[in-house]
Amino acid sequence: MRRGVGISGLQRQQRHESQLKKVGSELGHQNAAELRRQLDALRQRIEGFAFEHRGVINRDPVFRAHFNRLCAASGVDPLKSSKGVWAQLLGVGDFYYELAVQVADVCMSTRAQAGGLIAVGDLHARLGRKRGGAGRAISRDDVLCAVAQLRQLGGGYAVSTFGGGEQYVRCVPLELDADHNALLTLATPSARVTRARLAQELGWAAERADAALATLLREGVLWVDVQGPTGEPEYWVPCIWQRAESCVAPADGGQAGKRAPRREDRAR
Amino acid sequence: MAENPTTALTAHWRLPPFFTLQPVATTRVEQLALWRTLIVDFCREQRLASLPLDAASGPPFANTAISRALDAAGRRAVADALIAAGEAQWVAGAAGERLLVWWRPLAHWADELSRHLRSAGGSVFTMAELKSTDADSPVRGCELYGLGADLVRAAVAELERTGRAATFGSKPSVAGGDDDEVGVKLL
Repeated sequence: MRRGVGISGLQRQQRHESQLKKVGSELGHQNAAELRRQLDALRQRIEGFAFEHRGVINRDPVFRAHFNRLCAASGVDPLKSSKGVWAQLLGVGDFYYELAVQVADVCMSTRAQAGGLIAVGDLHARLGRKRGGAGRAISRDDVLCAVAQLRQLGGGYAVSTFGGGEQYVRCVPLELDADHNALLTLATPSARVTRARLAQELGWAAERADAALATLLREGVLWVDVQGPTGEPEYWVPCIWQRAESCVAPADGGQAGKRAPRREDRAR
Repeated sequence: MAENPTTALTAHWRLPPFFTLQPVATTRVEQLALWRTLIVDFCREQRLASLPLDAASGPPFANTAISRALDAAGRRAVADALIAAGEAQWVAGAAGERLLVWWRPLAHWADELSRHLRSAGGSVFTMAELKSTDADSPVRGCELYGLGADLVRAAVAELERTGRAATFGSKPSVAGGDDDEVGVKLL
């Protein structure tokens, strides 16, 4: 007979296993406790740091971006814990909630002209104007953080990239497929596109062009102009046009060339 | 009408497709809402009480700098949107042609006219006097002064409707006809 067989053998084996388990779980508890202790310490250090530098964090967009990256790397998310110690300490959570509300506000107010797409740069500039004073300057990273927060709420907020890597915030429940991206990329330099160019430059058959145009028209991303020089309908992308326009005249939205007569007008 | 760009003519006024009535219903609704704001702001800024719908060679319905103009159907759609929003109404006798744009509500104009005439003294006037832009016009100094006959007629009609004035005399056979001889009595 081999050792360990029989009732007593089984019992011994069970005892052995349960002891092993006990030792294992004790070790596990100790490890977990140790980890928790280390995490707590880390969080306390970050909190201490954040508290000490909260003025700079709130004021300086670059510093804030670095701080956010540090928090993300250490698995502590100051944005998600708005109800916790972070909000009390810093108002950081509130900062992004406030910014998110402003992002939503700008997206809604430009939606009519832009069809629910807005260049991140344009959005950033508009937010800057909206917020006024330099005390609470925001960075591009802050804008993207706020959009990420809105995304959690649904409502179709997301960031897309097309046309030379420029990022656009979408605020309509719109899925851009490869064709839409190709079309918008082609439209980027002049803010418009025609069926002829889709055929020439992308080699698209009429049906394919029509399908992509129809979707983007329906979503309000494209506006049609039938008074173009060739008489062929031109499909404009207001959000791209707007970006170019706001580059010309960031202050009042007027074209640089048109400002001169206005000044004369005032002087008269 | 001023040829200079005004602040009422906002960015989308330079966007070519803004002058093509959009085929997609939701986009068109947004487009017309932008047009409404633009028209009301433009009229306020230029102090235009009424806007002729056939004038499509300059602002606000045409932007020569980009060679775009809103066609008749487009202008009519803008007019209908303004009327539906209570921001405008057709000039009596000129439906489809001229639009009274309420950058101030009609009630305000009626109040102004009544208040001004009472404080100036007298209670009976002719339409010719009220429409006059002469130096001795009884409306001189009133906010309505110089804003055109369409607005004066609309304000008088509103006073009549609300029981604050009565008109008498030879009324024109068609609305908007010659009403110089019509008398207006404040009640």
